[in-house]
Amino acid sequence: MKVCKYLLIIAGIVCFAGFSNAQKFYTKTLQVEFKSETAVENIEAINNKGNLVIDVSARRVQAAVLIKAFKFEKALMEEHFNENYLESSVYPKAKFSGVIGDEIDWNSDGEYSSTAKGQLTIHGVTQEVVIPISVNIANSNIAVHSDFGVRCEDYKIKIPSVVGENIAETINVSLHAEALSSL
Amino acid sequence: MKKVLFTILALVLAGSFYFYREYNRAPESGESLKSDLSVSANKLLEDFENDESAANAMYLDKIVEVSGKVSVINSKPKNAIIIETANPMSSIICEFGDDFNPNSVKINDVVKVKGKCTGYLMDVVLIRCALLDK
Repeated sequence: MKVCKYLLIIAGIVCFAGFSNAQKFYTKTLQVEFKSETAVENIEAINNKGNLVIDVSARRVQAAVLIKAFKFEKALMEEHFNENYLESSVYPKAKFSGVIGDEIDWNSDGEYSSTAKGQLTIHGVTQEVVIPISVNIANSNIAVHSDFGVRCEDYKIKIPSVVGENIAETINVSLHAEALSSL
Repeated sequence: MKKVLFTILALVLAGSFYFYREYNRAPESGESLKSDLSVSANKLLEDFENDESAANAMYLDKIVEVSGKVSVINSKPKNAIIIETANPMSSIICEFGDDFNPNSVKINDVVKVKGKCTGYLMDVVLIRCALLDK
């Protein structure tokens, strides 16, 4: 009898959890691109396998990318990026964890602009940042976009003076995710 | 004197050509990659789940041949095959190049994929993959 009672309580909690408003959206194909533009040369790389999770009720957003999954057109750039600048064998991931503003109505179609405030960790260094975020909701299809700058110096990314002219001090980063799924 | 000048010129040209080639060298991809080791999808995931640092040391940057069952196929622009594991929440994500033909595999096929291991987020991610003959 007691077992029955406990089972009923557990069942009740599980049902309630299902109906509560704790929505989570995620994607495993977050696209992260970055560009360094200088007079000498432009360097670009793209990563299509980032993770993004948004907890709507807690207004928390978390993103992570594997540094070694950034693809460059030139092998030399990719090798220098991984071995010398980001030291990706020591720091294989870059992460962001933060809180989104309340401008977004996740249940209604529309174009929303907001910011995400939190910690960005690159190359083992964590900085407090505020990143602009735009969210587009259309027919239950959620798309998220963000453009922001990353200063190499802030994350102890050392650019040797020999190539100082080739790499911008501030790298332009662009995040894009579409068709986020419900968790 | 002329001979010396000529030799120097030849060396400079050869050097320039070499640097030009090296600077523009594209990363190796897909078919041309030489496998470093072979592992089942389950073992690869388990290794990362049990001890991520040790798995990173063992697999990062290595060209890994993974075998397992296809659960999802993504065509352009996301060109990927997802190989399932015993863990329903995590898989092996294999990213292919633009020349990937999604019709070359079917869901539930048992496949062998080789690619560069880039690490573990919620899944193990391989890039620059190529399908191997089973």
